Amino acid sequence: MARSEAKLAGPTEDAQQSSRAAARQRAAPRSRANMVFRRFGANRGAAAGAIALCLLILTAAAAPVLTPYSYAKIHPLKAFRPPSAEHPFGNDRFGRDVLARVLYGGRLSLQVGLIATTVGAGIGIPLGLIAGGFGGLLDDTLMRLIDIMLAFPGLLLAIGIVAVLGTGMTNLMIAVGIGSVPGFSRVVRGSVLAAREHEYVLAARAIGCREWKVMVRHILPNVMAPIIVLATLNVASAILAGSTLNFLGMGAKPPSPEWGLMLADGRDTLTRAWWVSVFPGLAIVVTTMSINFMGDGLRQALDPRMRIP
Amino acid sequence: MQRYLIRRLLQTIPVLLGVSLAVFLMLHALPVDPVRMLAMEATTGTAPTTQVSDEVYQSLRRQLGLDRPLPEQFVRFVWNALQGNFGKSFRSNRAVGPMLFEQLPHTVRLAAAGLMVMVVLGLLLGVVAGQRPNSWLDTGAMAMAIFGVSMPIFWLGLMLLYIFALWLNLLPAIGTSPASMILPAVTLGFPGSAIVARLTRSSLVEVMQSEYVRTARAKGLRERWVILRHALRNALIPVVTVVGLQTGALLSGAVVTETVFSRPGVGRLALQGVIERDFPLVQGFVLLAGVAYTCSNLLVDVVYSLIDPRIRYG
Repeated sequence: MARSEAKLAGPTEDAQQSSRAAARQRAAPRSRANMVFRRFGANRGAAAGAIALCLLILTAAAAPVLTPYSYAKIHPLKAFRPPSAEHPFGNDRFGRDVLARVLYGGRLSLQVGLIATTVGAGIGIPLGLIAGGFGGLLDDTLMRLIDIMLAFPGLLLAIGIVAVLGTGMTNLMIAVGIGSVPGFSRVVRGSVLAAREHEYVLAARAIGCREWKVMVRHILPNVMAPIIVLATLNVASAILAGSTLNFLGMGAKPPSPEWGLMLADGRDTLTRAWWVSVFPGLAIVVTTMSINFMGDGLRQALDPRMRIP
Repeated sequence: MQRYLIRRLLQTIPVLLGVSLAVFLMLHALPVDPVRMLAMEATTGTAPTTQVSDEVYQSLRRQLGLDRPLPEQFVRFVWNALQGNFGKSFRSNRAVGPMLFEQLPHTVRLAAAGLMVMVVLGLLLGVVAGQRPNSWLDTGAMAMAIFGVSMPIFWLGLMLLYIFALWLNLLPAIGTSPASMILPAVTLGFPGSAIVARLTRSSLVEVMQSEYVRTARAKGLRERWVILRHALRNALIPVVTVVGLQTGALLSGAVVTETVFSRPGVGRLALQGVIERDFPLVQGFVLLAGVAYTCSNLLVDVVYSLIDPRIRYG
């Protein structure tokens, strides 16, 4: 639209406009990044989510400084003590400080979220690039494989993988990561298919770029926006899935302070001590909610029309 | 239309074959040799050594059919599965098929109740929010929806259990009475209802801008009827797909819900299978779930094409 207006207005105004644009560019050298950052900051939910997440990361990292108690040490005399000034979240059936366990547990949950997402993105993005970029039989084959993975609803794929690999934290992270592969490869494939039609791709080919270089150097940077958003949201769903598998007893073993595992313990003592179940659950909700708000804000800041399934 | 249905049906066959191949390969992808494991289990009673005699090992392998070439094993696996025969449990030595089918009605009842909660609650929240976009009702309903997708369902279950069963003493925590179904159904259906609500809202907001809604208002129809008779009918078309997809999530949610409320069901049985490394049981469950989900997706697509005349069957 800008071009046709300029044409109507004549060459002088056109020149004026372009010099004004150049001046603007000098004033704000990284205008796109600036714009995204400004839009993100203006979104109250997103900003609150980002701040909450930073606080969570800090408290998890500084757990030994924030609490004098151990997450594993047993104090039989303090068993089932309700929240008090000394122990704000109370004590569990072994007399362990629930607050200390929640703080240390944050490390595990964040770890699960990040590692599982890295696994999922590490496999899913190349698959999506290959499927979308090369098309043909390769695309068909890969997408049928993804269809098969998607035929196992929700957590069942992860549960099946844990069943094969065996229980434990490492296998759990792998399983949750593989479970998120279909999401990544589908979004990347779709974006690549759209990006492939652009002229810069044709230009890159025209100057003799090899196909894989076109993919990695030209197309990939242009489909980063949906990948970033999906990866952010995926951290939240991976934390949720990880804590669920832990609740079901497929991951960490006691006395690990993993939040899902704490809730499994809290379930058995619900009649005597509500605080053992309430606080780890709240921790999960706050973590996933802040990441979800942040991801949603990122989506709106990067591209309001973006659709992430 | 018929051609579309046939094509959609044909597309399902490779997926189903792929699903069964994946499940079949589970047993072969194990880092441990299942035969050795089983043989050790079987002999620990008489000879507590880690060594298993070669004779026992080979006979067990033959018994399980694992000495056959892989393609033959696979064909046999599919053929047996088609007849409801999923092999024998490693632990209880019972056939897996009857074990699963015995527990299936419990899970189906729970899933049906959860589906009802999901649809009713989701539509209610979505319509309330979509009627007046950006009002406080809208904000509240959507905040609840974000809460719903961010919350682990086992925690929701525990909290409902504590508040309504232990604290207020309103509903039974366990048992088989219809009232004991309420808490598990809400637990299972709530996360899905959050997703349904979000979609219903955005879909309704979009439809409310359309010309035929204006026409309906112009002829003096009450707002309630404009929404119920005109807007909602079109707004709900995309919702059908999501409800179908979420039905699959109900299956995995049932595993968790059954554990929280100590209810019998396929999910809990399978979970025990995972922890005890009872592979045939897990295989049977995963296969059952995969096939059920694929068929429900097929059904959703068919329903979708029936209710939306704008879809071309090209």
